[in-house]
Amino acid sequence: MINLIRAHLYRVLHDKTMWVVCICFFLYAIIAGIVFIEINAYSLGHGGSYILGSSLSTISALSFSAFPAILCPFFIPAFIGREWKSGTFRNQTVSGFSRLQMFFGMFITLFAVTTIALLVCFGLLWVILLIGQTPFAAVAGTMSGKQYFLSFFLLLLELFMVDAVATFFSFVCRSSLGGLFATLGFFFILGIVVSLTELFQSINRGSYYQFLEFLPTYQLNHLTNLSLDLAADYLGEVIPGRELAFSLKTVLVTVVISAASLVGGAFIFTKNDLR
Amino acid sequence: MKNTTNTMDSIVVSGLTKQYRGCLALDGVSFTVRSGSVVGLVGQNGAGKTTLIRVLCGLANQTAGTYEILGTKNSEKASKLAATRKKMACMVETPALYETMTPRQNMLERCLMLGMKMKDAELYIHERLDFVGLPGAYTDKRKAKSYSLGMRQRLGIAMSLIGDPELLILDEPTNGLDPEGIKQIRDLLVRLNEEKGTTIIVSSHILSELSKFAEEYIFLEKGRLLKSVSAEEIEASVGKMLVLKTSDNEKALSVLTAKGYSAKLNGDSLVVKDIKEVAEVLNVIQQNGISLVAMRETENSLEDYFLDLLRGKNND
Repeated sequence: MINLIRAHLYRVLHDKTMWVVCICFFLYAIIAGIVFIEINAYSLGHGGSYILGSSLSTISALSFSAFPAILCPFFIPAFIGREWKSGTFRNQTVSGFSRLQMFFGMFITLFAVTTIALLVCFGLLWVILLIGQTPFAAVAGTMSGKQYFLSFFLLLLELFMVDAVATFFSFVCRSSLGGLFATLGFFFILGIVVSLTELFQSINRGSYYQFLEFLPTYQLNHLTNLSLDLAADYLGEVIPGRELAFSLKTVLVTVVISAASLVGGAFIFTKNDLR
Repeated sequence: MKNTTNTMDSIVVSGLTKQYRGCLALDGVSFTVRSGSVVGLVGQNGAGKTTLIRVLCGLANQTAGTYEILGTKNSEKASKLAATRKKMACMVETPALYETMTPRQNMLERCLMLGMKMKDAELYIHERLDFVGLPGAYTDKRKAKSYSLGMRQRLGIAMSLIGDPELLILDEPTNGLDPEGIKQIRDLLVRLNEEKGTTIIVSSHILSELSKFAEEYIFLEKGRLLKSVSAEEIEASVGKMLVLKTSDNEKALSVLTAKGYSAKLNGDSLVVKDIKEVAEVLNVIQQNGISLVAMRETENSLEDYFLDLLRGKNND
């Protein structure tokens, strides 16, 4: 499978979609850095609230991370869709790779590539911040070092989940556009469900609070916003150790969605005929 | 073509069936392909040629039946079967190319997939592109999408040859090629078979072309195996064909038919098929007082054999 991943990486380097993604990441990092420096913001949310004059403060310092997760559903279906369009999965079959190797080889490559792109993007942002001498004290004041680490881990997990879901739909739909719309549709529906649970929560926080904590969609909401304990923020309650419990539950939900996407995708790809 | 399994068989197919949503694309097909042979896969549109190739190449799963490729059965571990497929190559319908990559990049990607080192791959690509008559493609900066159909076919074959496959399966490889290109591909396949002993299976509609290099034939019709037969057997069974013009064609027809010849009137000519000795036919005519005006001798083609097979003749 290493040879297959090597070949995929070679293709990634020669794929213009990848370079478009890289340019988007690069520009985003620069714009974000400038916004951070110019308005002394500790987050894009903070910056957004400053610029728009509205409250976006619930978005944490690492809300910057939502961007890669938005970009991946475009990049992954475009990359896999090209395999379907050109029929090049055939080449992989006769090069001695099983369907499972083909599916997971593709996923591992794309996850590795998107992770590297994300790290480069973050690195660039931090360099910009260092050059601009942004008051890190402000950022540090919002989260502890442990929380930052946890947030970053959750961000990678989020990326893993988005990549897994996008890979699943790209293999199932067998086209770039099909994969793109199915992935976006999935997260759109998920977003609606999350909003509904938020609505219930806002109607009567006290009554639904304990119940909502156990809803997967609620956990996903935490994941998306990367605020570790929203409900506690709203209610002004701080219960020691609960953040870790929340994180673990978040991890569990993400792992379940990712695993379902990967196992389901591999199963469907193995059972169906190739074009 | 033998019907027994031995270590010299590249492919052994037994009762292979493939069903697509109620449509039976392959119906219990069984045959054997000897190692080192060149096999022509013949059939009308929808006969199941491409489906058969797709199943053998692992692109489609069979509904029933078994097959064995280069000594590995399809029922064996998926990883073992996949590893065996490394020794084979196929080109199904159209070459599978990345449109936005150059020919060199397409081939390099395939080389990396097969575990070659970058440096070795570059040399190998150069050699293979030369082999298929695309020497300029190595340095060509144009994308594969800008290549003509014929050039793409050649590039597809060049890609199939990466890794020196023991078994090569090509589906309509001469599609879109000019007469010179068809000859070049034919020569290339013959050279590959003679020099490297590669077993080659070629599906083609151009039967006259196929008959120039195929040693064995597999005839398919509506998903069923009509016959698998060697080129020698076909040659022995079809014989020659005479097109005659005589002073009395109708009398000649009745005389020859009475003698057991397969003859029929075709316009102002008399066609006599499956002849072993031309002199015998001429003797029969002359002995009955019919004079010969004109005569043309032709070989019965593979096409005739196939058409006869479809009509139920030549079917043992």
